[in-house]
Amino acid sequence: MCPFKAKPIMRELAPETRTYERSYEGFLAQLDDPDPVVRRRGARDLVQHPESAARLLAAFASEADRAARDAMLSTLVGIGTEEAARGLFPHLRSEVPERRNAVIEALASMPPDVVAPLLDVALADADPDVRIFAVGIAGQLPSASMEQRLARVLEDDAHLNVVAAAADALAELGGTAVVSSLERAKVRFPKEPYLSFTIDLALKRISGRTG
Amino acid sequence: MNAPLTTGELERFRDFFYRKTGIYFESQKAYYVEKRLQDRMHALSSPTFADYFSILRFDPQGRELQALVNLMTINETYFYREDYQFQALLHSALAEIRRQNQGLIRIWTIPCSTGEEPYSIALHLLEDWPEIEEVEVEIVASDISTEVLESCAKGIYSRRSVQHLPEGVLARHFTPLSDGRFQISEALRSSVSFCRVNLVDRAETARFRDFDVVFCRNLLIYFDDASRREAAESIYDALRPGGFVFLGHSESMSRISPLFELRKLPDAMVWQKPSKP
Repeated sequence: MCPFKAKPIMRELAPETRTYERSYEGFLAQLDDPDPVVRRRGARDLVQHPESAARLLAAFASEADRAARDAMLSTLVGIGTEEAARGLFPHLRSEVPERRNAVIEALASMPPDVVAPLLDVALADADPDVRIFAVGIAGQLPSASMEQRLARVLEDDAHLNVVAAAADALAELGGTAVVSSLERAKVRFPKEPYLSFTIDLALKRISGRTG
Repeated sequence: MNAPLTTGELERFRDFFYRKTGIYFESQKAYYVEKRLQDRMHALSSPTFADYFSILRFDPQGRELQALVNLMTINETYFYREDYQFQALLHSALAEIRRQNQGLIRIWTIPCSTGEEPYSIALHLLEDWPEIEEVEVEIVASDISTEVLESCAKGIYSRRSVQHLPEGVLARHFTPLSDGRFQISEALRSSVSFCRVNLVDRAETARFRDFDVVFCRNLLIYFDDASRREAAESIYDALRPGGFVFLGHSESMSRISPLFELRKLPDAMVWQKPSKP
């Protein structure tokens, strides 16, 4: 006698209980529901509706529940449009690390050709923190142009920590093309042993990889 | 035949692969890694590692990475594979679940492949968990492939597949077939519900709710970042508060989603949906 409970699967897996219509309007309405579980489900269902990006971004900005917020981000990643990405960049200024880091991860998961032009704007931002986060995104995006972008940071950025972040990212993904930019950055900041150490490490790793 | 890869090239690949998949190949795996890289370079007619690496890194669809991941992670599954996780289920997770939930315990395995994993859970519950006599457990096993689900329902396995089962377990629950294979008992076959699902399809996963445990081992490593996020969201929604997720030994939810908490159980590290939001 087998003690397991075996049931026909279609009977066991009941349809989701819903008080909202399974329609675009219904999913949008769910975003305003007082229950975060309902908001979360509404956000997940909107992945088939790229036109919902603005509503999702607005909901994300005010969402207090972590799981609902995460679903909104995942849907925005799934939508993957310029509008969705553009709306996330302002959150790089968030004072809440959890929200900021979630946005960095989300942007790094979006299509590189969509994110790249917006990244250029962030890399030129007046706030060095925003530039550091942008460097973090560039270091994760699978695009050949990111190496060049990070090399430009090494050459041009005036802030030590931004340059160090770029050197750190290039230690992992850089090739011989960025060696001269790394060496020039070291010359630009001659009295910064921390940066010298980071750049030397990056050069060593690039040299180890490229022979 | 391409030239052998240099240590530097292998390290570059190792770093890249780790960043994309979380899988880190130690230096003693260099031959294993190089053999597979050479196979892919040959398949794409890439004359050098640099040429191949460029294709790998900048393929916007990630198809080549996927092909390589498949090649790097091919593992024939078998009964009681990564058994310490089943021990963690029996010794720790189930007791915790029972404290929160006195009723039916529901376990979902995805992907179930040819059935070794869900049947391993069933066997362990029968053999090593006395409470099975008084607790109702439902095991749902899913895969994206209907072909493997048909194989699950037949429950026929090679000697290699059952080689880690204790002899007594094999004798009690399997019938030897004339061709040298073994068929799991009808009682066990009918105790697991099999159904097809694509974990990254929101419409398909919406029906999967109220599970206490999800086994999702060695699947997320095959996905790109966006799909991995989607899969994690689906698993989260499928679980009851406090439910457990078992991932493959090289996988980590922390690189995918902030929704789960890491739990260090005596037998294994697992992920848990918070009991309270």
